[in-house]
Amino acid sequence: MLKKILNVCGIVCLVLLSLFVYHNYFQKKVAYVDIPKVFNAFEMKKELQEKFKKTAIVRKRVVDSLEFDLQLLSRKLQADQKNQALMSEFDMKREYYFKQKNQIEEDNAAMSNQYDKQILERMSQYMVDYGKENNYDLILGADGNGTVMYANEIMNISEDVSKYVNDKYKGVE
Amino acid sequence: MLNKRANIVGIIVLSAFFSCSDESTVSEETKQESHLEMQNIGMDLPLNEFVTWVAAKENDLTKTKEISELNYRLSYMPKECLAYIETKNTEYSKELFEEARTHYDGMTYFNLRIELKGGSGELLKYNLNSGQQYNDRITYMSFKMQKDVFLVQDKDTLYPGLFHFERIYEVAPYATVMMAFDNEKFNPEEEFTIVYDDKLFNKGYIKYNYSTKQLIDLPNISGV
Repeated sequence: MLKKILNVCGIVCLVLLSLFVYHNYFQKKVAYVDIPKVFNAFEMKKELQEKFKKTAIVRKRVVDSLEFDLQLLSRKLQADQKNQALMSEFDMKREYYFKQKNQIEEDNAAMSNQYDKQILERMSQYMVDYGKENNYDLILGADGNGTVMYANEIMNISEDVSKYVNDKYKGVE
Repeated sequence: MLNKRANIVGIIVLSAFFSCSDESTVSEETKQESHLEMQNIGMDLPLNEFVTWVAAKENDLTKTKEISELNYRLSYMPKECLAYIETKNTEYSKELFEEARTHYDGMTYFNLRIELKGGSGELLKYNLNSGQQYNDRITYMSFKMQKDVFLVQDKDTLYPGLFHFERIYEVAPYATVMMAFDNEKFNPEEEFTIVYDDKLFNKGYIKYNYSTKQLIDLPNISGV
């Protein structure tokens, strides 16, 4: 009887050993990350978004002020349509206004691109660090565009990654 | 014979399960150990070993941020280390060392080193668009960078009281700046974060967090 039990134990142990070897050496560690979720929760993104907003508001004020001047001048011109000096001043200010407006739009776009690049570069770096530190073979990025068509929720590591990425950014990790 | 084998296999399996049950547990333990080391303020070290201890990565006073092709390494420099560096080429005397140490009173010093990974070529010539950009980078590091480095404690922001770009006139894949913050304007014993808004290579905010008492939980220096 004891022999039988020991034999069964031996077989069970062998099966467990095989599973262990399979799990550690043959099975790849794969998970996926909900990219928009991690991106939107990323502190760096929030901070730079705030910084962008503040800068954009200040720049908009400059354009608004120029626009206001132009409107005043336009009203004066309507009352005195034959005034050539006023007309040339209006043309000059209108040209300056459009130049400034375009410049600010270009600066805003460049700033936004630069921030996006910084955020994505940093997020990618931290994801690589996370994968290495946690021995992942593959981390997939689900962004709702069909990169990951289906995955079991158990493979979703977005929460962990989000926390890791933010700790790393804050310099705590 | 079969029984013995079954027992041995069982032990191997069990020990394998225990030893590799969860790698995160192992790394957590390692983290805790290194944290305990930090708390070991009763430790006495000779000056040269103290300097090595401060620079050792596991003691977390030097923090490295890896961003793409660059490493940004911030090192806390206790005044004893600075005095050691200042006096190491002269014959040691207690008076000389004390005098050197007092030079650094009242401020908390850090070194920030920006390094090209794989390190070849000159850092400031990395990915240059023009010759003018090289000069702009030197000007930036010498004069403008100090406005992009700051210390945050609670809701206060403090800019460095001292800032120095260590210009090296040779090909080196790194650049170093030294900065110091006035101890009267922040509390080095409480948690703070040093932030560098990188405009040299446009990597954005890089943050280094020092926890409460981290700068004072240091070994004692013996024989000084």
